Amino acid sequence: MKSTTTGRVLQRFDWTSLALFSALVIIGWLMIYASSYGVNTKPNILDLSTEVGKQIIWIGAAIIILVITQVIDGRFWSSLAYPLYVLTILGLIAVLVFGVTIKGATSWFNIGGFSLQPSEFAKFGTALALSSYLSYYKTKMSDFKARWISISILLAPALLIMLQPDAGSALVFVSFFILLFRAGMPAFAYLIAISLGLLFVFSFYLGPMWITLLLTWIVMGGVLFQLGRKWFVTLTTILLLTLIGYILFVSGFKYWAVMGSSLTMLGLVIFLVFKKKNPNYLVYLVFFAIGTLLSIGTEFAFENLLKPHQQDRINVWLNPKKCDPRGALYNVLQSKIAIGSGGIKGKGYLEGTMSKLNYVPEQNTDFIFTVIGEEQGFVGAMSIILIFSFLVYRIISRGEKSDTLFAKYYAYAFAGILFTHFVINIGMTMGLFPVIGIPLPFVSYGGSSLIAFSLMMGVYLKLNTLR
Amino acid sequence: MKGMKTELLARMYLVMIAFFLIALWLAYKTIYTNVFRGDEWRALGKKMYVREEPVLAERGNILADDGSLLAASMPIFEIRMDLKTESLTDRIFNEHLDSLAFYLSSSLKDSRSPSEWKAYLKRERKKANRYALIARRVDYNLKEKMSKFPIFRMGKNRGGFIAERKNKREKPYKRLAARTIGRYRSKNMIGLEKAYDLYLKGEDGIRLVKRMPGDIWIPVHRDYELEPIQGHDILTNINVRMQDIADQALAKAMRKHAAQWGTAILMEVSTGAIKAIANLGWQNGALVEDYNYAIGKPEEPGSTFKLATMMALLDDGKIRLEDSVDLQMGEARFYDRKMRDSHKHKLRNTTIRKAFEESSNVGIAKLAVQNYLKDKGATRFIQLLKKYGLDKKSGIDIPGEKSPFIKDAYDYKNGWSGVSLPWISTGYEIELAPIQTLTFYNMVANDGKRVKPFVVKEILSDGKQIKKITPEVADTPIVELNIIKDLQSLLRGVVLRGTAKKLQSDIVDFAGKTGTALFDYGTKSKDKRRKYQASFVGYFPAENPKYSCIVVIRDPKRNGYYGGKVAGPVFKEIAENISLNQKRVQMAMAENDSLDSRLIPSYNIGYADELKLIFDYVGIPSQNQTKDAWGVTVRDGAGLLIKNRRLKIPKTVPDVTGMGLRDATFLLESQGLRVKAHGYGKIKKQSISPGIKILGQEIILTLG
Repeated sequence: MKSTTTGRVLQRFDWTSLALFSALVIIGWLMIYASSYGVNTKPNILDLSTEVGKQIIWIGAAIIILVITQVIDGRFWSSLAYPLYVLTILGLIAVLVFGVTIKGATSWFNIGGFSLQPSEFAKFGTALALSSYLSYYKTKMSDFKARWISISILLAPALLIMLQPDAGSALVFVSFFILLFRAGMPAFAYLIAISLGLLFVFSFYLGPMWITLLLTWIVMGGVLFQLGRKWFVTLTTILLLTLIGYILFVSGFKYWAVMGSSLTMLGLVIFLVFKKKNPNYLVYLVFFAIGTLLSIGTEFAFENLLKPHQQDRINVWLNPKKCDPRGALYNVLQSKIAIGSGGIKGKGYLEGTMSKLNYVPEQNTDFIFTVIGEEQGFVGAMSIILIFSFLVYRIISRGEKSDTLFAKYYAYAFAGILFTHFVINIGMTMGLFPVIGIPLPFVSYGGSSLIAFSLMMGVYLKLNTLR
Repeated sequence: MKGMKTELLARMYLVMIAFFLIALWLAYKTIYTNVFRGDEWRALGKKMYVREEPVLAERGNILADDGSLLAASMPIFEIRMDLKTESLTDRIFNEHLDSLAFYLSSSLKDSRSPSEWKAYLKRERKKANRYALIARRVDYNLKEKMSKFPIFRMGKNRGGFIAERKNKREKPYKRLAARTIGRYRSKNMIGLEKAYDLYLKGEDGIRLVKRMPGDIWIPVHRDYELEPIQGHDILTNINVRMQDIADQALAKAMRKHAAQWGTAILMEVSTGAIKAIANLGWQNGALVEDYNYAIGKPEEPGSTFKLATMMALLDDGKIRLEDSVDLQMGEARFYDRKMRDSHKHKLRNTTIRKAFEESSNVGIAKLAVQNYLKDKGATRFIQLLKKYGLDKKSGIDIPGEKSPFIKDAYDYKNGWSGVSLPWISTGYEIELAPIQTLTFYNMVANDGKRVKPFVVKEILSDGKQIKKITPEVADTPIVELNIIKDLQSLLRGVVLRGTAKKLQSDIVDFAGKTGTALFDYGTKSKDKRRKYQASFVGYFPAENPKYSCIVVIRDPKRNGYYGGKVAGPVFKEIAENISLNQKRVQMAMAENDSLDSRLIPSYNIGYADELKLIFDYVGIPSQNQTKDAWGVTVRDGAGLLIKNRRLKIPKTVPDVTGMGLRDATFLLESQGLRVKAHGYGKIKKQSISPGIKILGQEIILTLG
């Protein structure tokens, strides 16, 4: 009886994910070795004071944790979800009091020569708590209350992490919204959030003047459509107006273009209100006003609310030409050069100049991808992306088939975190995201990160076997 | 409920699709960075982060025949400032800006005022200039001094003081033979610098440097990837003293006659070794070596070419020197053109010898016409000129020698005409560079054996000879020796009785030929001053000639224009001064104690006070005109002047302790020592004690 259960468990066990996980850990260690490998320094693997040596200990610990999670009864996690969540919250509070400050952030406990980063474990705690709450039979996402409770569960640790301050790690908690979406959070909220996000990015990218101009065109398009409901007339007119506005704008008459467009739009809206005798159409103006104000607000917030180093990060991301290549842009430029110089096949293991000479800061942690890019080239980089993508796909699709809602939600939470980490981490090495300093799961050097992710992996694997 | 379920399932697909698209975007960006833009990043990476930096090889020196330095590389620094080092805070910058500006203004020549410096530094700091130019050519001492300025004294990384070493090519003897020594630069090199660049340049080494944050480049390894190989030295035949004599004599004449340009070449008859080569032209009212006229300017030589005509006539056995020729009182007509002798005279029938000595155009031209006009005879004449090598380059080892121009006989397309024969025979309608004319005369002096002129005699590596250039001397005389002897007697006759008789010297017997070539005969206007090229070419001593020499002075504008009047005296001065020194040596060896001020070592160097003491003691009138310890003796009438030495040619190691490295290096290297130095500051110790004889050793200076 027992043996058949074990047999079924082994059959149901997600060996593929385990293999992908193992591959990432091994690749990670090899790359950490490569980044420590210098022109004159060949790291001693067995020297536990080196990062290469320490990582071996962490990998050992990760394996132990993986085994333990398979041995423990899977139901343990759902029942202990809240206590564990509270524990991690307490850890986050404690670190603010007892933690050590490294590079301006109080994010670490120093325990006997090793540093522990509670924020890494907070992700796990939050994933458990959220999954537990959402899978509770009384929780209805259609309820306003349930929405706010679930949001609070993920915001609490995020806010505490912000206090360290570690904006990067805090931002990762946004990934739980993927789970919330799956659990039934209203879609329009996401639509608004995404629109706002795009508005912020484009406001910064193009400036409020452009945004205002664009908004007038959108509104005018809407109004004309309302008036005539004739696509052709609408499009021609809007194209004409757009063209005039655009020409005026780019030829230096910015204020004239914006003012002219705004007044035309205002006239059209008022005309529409009178024509249809329906004041509800004034909502167009509200839309326009909010958009414009937000766009101006973005600029204001950027200039006045962000600290210079945060401004730099945004600039590096969206406006690299403005940046000093030896200053704020340094990391990203170095990292792009490293990745770009790898070519298709890469320079070969331990042959990367950039890696050997340690040009890329934080190369074995946040910028580990650059070592892969330089030494393994396009082939290596693409393999990493494929492995991660496949792993995430695997977790979601297996999660969907879970027998318990808890396991399914947990899978989403884990996949979301994994996905966010890998996309932002790799994206930031190529300048697609601001450099917010989060590790590449399983690959980057660092005990807390590896152990926390292995823990999440182990729990996923265990929950997945439950039927 | 079912609708709810479908919607939630749709959400799963939505999440999957969103994940997929984002992953795809990431993958695309990776391909874009890695493959599409890979080359650009690689190039940028190479440029920005690791580069091979050339380690400049030390360029070899160009040495005179005694090893003294004609051209040497001296260290020089370009000073720049990093205005954005992290330690350079606004507080420090503003606090020291005034004093830094003051020091910069006061220590750099032709520099900005303190307030201008202040504005400049402020502006560049605002621009975050990490490489602002402070001064371009700064010597070692000034560089050291500058490094102690406010802010700068915080050091390179903190105070932003950047001193980049460059090499400056220096000619210790300034103008002397400057054009021949040449110019070292990246493009359009000239002179020996160009001709022997392959030997001089050495091989640059390579060092791998990497860039550290903060724009600091540091070597990747402690050693060079490739050690630079120092360039070889080249030892020339140029004799500094002879060069100085030629230069001075030529310069004097240039000024006296307000000439356009002039050149003087002194060559060793038996080998072709160029002992001196002076080229002077005007630049902003000063005489400078602006072009190598000696080799690069073929012009119509005029009368000096008559020697070639005589050689041809004698070679063919057409004439004997005592034959008669009618000079027609210096005027003859060939077809439509009238030929005149440059001196007016009433001579009619006279000997050919006399005609040559008097440089009669009419006489020589008539001989040529009589002997080579009939039966296409000019073909033979031109053929002989070519046989004598007059259509060939001399082959001197300085770049830029132009080929002579000689028309082919009856080549009407190229301007051959009925009057070509008489005019060529007197040195017109052909063009020869001075070195080519000299090579011809040298052949006559060398009993008919042509030699190839050469400037460089040895290539040295670390003072050891690695290549010796052997003189190229023809085995057999170009014509029979008795003809050569006739020609030699003609040239001697010119000085004894002919156009150069006023130049006769009681110090040295010389032989030669004057030349007065009219070079603006094409221009018609009568009121214009006629333009001439005055030349004198010959050799000395007349018996057993040792040196041949040519002096060409273009367009003298006052105090005469005849070759004998303008160029001849320069020749004479050169010949006399050189012979005097030779004679002095001989006399000293013979322990002859009779005193003649002319035999007193002129152009010699010694302690001025001691020289004065000796001259006073032996009763030679002398005057000390220098305030330096060292002086040079210059003959002045019956007495001697002790002048500021322009040249430093002491033969023993000087005491350089207490000097700056640059001065010491200059002093020691110019005397043939190789300098190595370590430490900073003033020289504390020198590895070879003062007073030791210089034999091209290496001297190690310890600074502290």
